[in-house]
Amino acid sequence: MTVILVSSDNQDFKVDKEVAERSILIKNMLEDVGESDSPIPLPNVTAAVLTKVIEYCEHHRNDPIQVPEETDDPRKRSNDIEEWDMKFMQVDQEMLFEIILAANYLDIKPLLDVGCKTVANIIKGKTPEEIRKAFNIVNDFTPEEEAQIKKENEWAEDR
Amino acid sequence: MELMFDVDDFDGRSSTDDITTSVPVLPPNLLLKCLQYLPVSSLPAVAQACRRLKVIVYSDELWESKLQAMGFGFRGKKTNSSNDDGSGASLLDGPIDSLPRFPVHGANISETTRKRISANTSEAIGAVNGRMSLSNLSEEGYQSSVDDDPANATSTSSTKPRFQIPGLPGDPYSMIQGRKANQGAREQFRAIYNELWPYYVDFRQANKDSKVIQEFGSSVLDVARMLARLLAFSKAPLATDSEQINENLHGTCEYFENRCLHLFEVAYDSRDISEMAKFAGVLLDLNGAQACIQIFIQKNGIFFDNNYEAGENLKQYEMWLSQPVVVRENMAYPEFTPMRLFMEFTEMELQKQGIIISDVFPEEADVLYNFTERVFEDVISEYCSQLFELCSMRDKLLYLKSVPTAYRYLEHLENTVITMEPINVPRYRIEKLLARVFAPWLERYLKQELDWVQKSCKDQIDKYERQRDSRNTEPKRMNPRNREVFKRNFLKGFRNVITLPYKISSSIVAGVTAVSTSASSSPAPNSTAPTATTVAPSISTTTVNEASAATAPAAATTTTPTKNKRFSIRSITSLSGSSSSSSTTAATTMTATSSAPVTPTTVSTPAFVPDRKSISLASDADSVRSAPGGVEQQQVVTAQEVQEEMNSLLSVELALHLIHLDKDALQRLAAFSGLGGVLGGRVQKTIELVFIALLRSMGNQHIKPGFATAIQQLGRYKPSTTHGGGVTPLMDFFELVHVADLILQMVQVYYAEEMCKHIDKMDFLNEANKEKKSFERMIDDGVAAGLDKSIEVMIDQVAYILSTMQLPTDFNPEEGTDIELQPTNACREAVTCLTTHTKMLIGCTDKHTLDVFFQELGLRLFNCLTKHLRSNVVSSQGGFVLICDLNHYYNFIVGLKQPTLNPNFLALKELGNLFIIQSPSDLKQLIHDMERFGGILRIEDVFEFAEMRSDWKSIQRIVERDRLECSIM
Repeated sequence: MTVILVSSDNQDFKVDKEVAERSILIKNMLEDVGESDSPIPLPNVTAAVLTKVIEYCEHHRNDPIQVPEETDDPRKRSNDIEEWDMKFMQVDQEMLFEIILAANYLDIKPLLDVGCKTVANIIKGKTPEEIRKAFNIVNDFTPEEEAQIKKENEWAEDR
Repeated sequence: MELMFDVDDFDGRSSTDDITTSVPVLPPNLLLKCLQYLPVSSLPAVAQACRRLKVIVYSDELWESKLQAMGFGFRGKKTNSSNDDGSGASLLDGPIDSLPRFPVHGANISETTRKRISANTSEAIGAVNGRMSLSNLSEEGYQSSVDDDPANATSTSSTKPRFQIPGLPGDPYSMIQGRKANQGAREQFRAIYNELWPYYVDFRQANKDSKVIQEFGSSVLDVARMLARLLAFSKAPLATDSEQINENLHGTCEYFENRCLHLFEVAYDSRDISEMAKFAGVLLDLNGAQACIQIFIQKNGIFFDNNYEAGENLKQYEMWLSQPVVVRENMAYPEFTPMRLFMEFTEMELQKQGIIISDVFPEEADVLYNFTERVFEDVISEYCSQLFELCSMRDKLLYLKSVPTAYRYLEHLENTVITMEPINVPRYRIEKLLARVFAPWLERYLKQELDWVQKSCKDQIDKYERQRDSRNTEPKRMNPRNREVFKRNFLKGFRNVITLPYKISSSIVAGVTAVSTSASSSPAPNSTAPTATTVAPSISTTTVNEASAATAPAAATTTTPTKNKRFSIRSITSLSGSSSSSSTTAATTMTATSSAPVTPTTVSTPAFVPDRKSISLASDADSVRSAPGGVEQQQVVTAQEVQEEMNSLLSVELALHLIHLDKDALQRLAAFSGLGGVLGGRVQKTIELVFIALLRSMGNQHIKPGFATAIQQLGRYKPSTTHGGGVTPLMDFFELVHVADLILQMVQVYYAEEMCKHIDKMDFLNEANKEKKSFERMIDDGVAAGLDKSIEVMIDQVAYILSTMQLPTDFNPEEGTDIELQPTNACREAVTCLTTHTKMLIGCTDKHTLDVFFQELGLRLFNCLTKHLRSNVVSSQGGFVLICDLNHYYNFIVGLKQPTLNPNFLALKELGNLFIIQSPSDLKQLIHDMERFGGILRIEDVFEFAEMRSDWKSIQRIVERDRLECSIM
């Protein structure tokens, strides 16, 4: 059984239902609609991103579905990413953010986690300036403000 | 770039900031999610990057997740603590007191326990243990710290341990207070972080002596607490290299734990309660002491080293079996003494351990329950499974006894555990535990019990059938006159027996079955009884004179009259039919003769034969206890009863067996009556099913076929000449009705005494009640169908008697012969036949049925008589004889006490006048006097009778004329 997903730029993707149902959004939708051949429009996801997302879902099609309670794993760490996922996430930043947004929208929890962890890994260990550079952020603090913030957070720095 | 998100709403500020970047920005919630993965040490840099990121870093939500991370790990471990505030709820939304406590285990320990632990600790510090545990943790560093300042360490820990230790300000209350002041997760986290970070980061170097040990090494307990806090603390991502740090931290903790466990074991082996308590407290603070509890439990000898074998019970059983029968009866059925000893041992061990546990562990650690659980699941479970397995292989009944016995012991054990001092296990938990452990066995047992009842009921009935088939002797009957008394006494005895404790009642059954062995040693009067049995029928055929003559020698020889002799005498007296005075005198002489030779101890001697069994049952309990000779005698008595019962279609003895068998099962099942819930429901169901099984097998396999056979015999019966007035199938059937009634009443007694303990009598939907109803209905139906048939048979028999014995000269004697003014032989015979049978029925079934039966019988008899009489010719002299006959019939009918029948027979009696009136005109008058015949007989009928007159031809015209006139009129 397959479903047809339509990207925002009107491209059709034919995927196995099992794969599509990695997305809780689509899963719920299919459950609500019942058996239907009509394509599912995904107006927030471009074809390029959807391709990526489907690739991820294909690879993880046999994973156990995460139980909602487990999703808030207290031991949030950024460095327990599977190798395949790590490679999968080696994309440019724009795509990375797009994937995170799509995962959020499609409600694919593991993909969202992997995306966020990847972002965290980029930030980790960087100085403020490095962070700005990495994400193309403009410093909107005055030097006084910045010093103040640094002082406020000194306790948390790894001394 | 399309992925620009305006974060102003989140920021809460106006959007005047120029966002000059083209970087795709995630919405704040996703950014927050990303930042949650960052270690704490990376966050300051993020905050400095730009305003939006700063807002997120400063948001309480981010820090809250870290606090939760620390709390979660702790709570996850201690499942049954009272710490049950909403785990996922926002820390800041909830009221202060619902916040998760700072994860120090000691916070949950009661004040007294803590004092005790701290006291122990302080004692130990200066001495061996402080050195042992800590010097092993660190080679150089700690040692020095203790040596440097032992006095300080001792003094601090001897008062309130944690609160006053420098550098360890983190008791949960001050934490919460601090949080109140700062109003924020970030601030709270910061406080904790500031306190713990130095110790935490110290673990970067694995092999270096830990700062924790250096600073708190003087108290094992403090080290444990600090480590526990660090463990919880480490759950939140803290530094970029926190994995490595955590690994080292865990390594240290593990080492520390192992040391403590080892010391605990040492203390356990040397039975040093205070040492055990100390290390238990330490481990409890470290990580909930699960490992310690396991060690404590596993080290108990009961799990690996108890000498109690389930097989011992079997040996006891074999020994019991090897005893001779007589000895075995005086001994109880094997009581599973080895199992009792085992349970007592377990109970003692639990009590002993309860005391130790209360000294060693705080109540919150729940060690006693854990221990009890293990005892139940391992030791008891193994023992019982083995026992049940062995028993079921050896003997079915033994198995059926073993399970309830085990349950009773366990119930006792349960009560002990509940009421144990100083600590105990709450009832609901132990009950649940027991139910869980016992459920699989119970399931199997209930099924087997039901099977057994069904099967052994069937076996008993089959056995009885076989025995009946093999002995085809004359059926014996109850003494008709004493039947009522017999039944009443029997039931009284039965009621006593059924309420007796199991042991005694079972010995009765055993005594009944084990007859043959002691039969030879029976006293003389009893051994003569069987021979008398064969004599009895022949006596009954003799005439009145002979019979009375036969009675005299019997009384003269002073042999105790047996049941059969009394029966024969009774039938003879009824045969004489007329003088009730003679029969009463016979009875009185008989009682006189019987009671005369028998000495004061009338109860135990078998003088009144019909009462014997009831006496034997009623007095069994006493006689069993009083004298072994008594038992023997009772056995003989019942043995004879068995033999006599054996031949009839229904057997009271068999019913007694079955009920006892059922009662035994019920008593075994009653052991489980304390069970509630689903299992209790199953037990209840089985109790009902067992009762139903009894009724079904007794009803369908015994009573129903019995009735069917009796009715069949009735149907086959062709009237023939009998002497003594008894029609065998009829007698059989009436006997059957009596026995059925007796069985029914036994069931009723059993139901009232035993079943009503378990079921509601008024619950008409209850299966057992329904089954009982249908059982009663089945008997009633059988009785009704049989009675229906027996009316026919009786009337046929009467008709046969009348047609064969009524001589033509009876009512038309030849001129000149003397007539005796008494009923003709035919009449007497017919009435005797009727009386014999109807008397048998009295009291055998309910009054209503009998009334209907008698009324029907009367009407049919009336028809039969009118038909019969019309075939005779009556002379005026014979008329007097006829009147005698009619009076005789009438007296019989009056004896039935059915007022509705009386008019018919009164009318019949009046008919007699037709034949003694000489003048035709008077006769005419009489015929037309309808009042006289009560409207029962029409004129035509009366004419028909008048035609029977021997002189009818000569007077016909005169009488007929009037008749014609009448008809014209």
